[in-house]
Amino acid sequence: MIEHESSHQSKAKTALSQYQRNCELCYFQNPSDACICECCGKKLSQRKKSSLQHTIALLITSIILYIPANLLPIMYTNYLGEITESTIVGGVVTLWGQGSYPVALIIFVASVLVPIGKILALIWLCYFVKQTKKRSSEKNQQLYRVTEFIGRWSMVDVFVVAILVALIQMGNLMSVHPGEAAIAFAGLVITTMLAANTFDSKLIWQSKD
Amino acid sequence: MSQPSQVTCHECDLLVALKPISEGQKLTCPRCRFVFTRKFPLAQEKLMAFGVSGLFFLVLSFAFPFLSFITRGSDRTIVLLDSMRSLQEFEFFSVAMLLMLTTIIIPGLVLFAVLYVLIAIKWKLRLPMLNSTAKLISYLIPWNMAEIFLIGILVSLIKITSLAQIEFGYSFYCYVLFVLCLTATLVYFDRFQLWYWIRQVEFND
Repeated sequence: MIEHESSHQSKAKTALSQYQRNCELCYFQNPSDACICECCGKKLSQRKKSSLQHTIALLITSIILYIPANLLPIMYTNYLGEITESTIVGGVVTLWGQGSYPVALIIFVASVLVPIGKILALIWLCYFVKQTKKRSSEKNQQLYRVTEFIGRWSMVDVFVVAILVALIQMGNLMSVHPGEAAIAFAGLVITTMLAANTFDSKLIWQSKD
Repeated sequence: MSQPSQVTCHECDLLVALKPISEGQKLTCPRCRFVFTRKFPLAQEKLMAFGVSGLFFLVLSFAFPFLSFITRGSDRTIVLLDSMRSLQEFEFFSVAMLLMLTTIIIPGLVLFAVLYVLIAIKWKLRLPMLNSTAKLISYLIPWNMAEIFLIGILVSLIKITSLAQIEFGYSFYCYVLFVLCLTATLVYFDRFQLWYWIRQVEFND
């Protein structure tokens, strides 16, 4: 139930073009000279400050973290004195071999596909907003929303390690130790989440304004 | 001060004129389909009910055993906080902290803050730090990972069911109920609506 003030043919009225100071957080309509929202106290700005630089910096960090996260073992299993290391991909392969296909698939999607997909999607979006002619802003906005939404779900693997380490502690009979990749992987998830957070989706629409 | 007559789309920066909507309808951005607000019947009551029960179940989930692991004569029972404690014993402080923050502290704080703001709205009280608390909710919600922790527990149990027998403790069921209440709270939580109510308390009484 929205009255759309401008048609798609003419130039869209945006907050930037109309010098509007509406708060993004609490939606309060501030006077045009306001710097801080009079309702909630949030700093008002038309765009996130150096959004692209922050996003790219965080993306580079996450790409660097991706290497140890996959090369180092995420946990060590001690079974009757015999210690085996398992990496993320190794864990998926083992699960697949045991026949638990749904779980293998969940872990594969959450810890392998999602992080790569998120990094690639954000790199694409950073490239897209630099284009002068932007087509299909809607689709890219959708891509950004998906990236933002699925970000948290990669954490599953870290939580699995946490539960296994707590639960299986029986000395030499059977015990599980956390591996260094858990730290790198947790860092990877956090940095990609921050990268998605700092990316300003308004840039996707900017040339259309 | 008054309620806004037009809003800026958070995602695409379009200026959108506001119109009153009735229950069951939603307000979306005509350009990028961002949902500003959904109007649920009895939203305040539902938020309070799920918020209170969520906090209640969270507190209860500390009180009982969480999971038991039984294999060939030896067994081990853990409580909820043991998952952080054992990570800490292996000197994985950062991961332990992250786990603690994302699965217990932040979700708990979100529920607490929602309740605090709603109490102020419902009884028209000008509680201290009302605006900061409401702001905090929006900043914390993306970092809540309680439901992911639950999936993580289920995945790890599937991984080890062939090795041993697993028994769920009462705390586990409490945590499941906590996650369900939290998710329901987040479904009914609406930033636009919340600030509309807050302004009613702050300026119009």
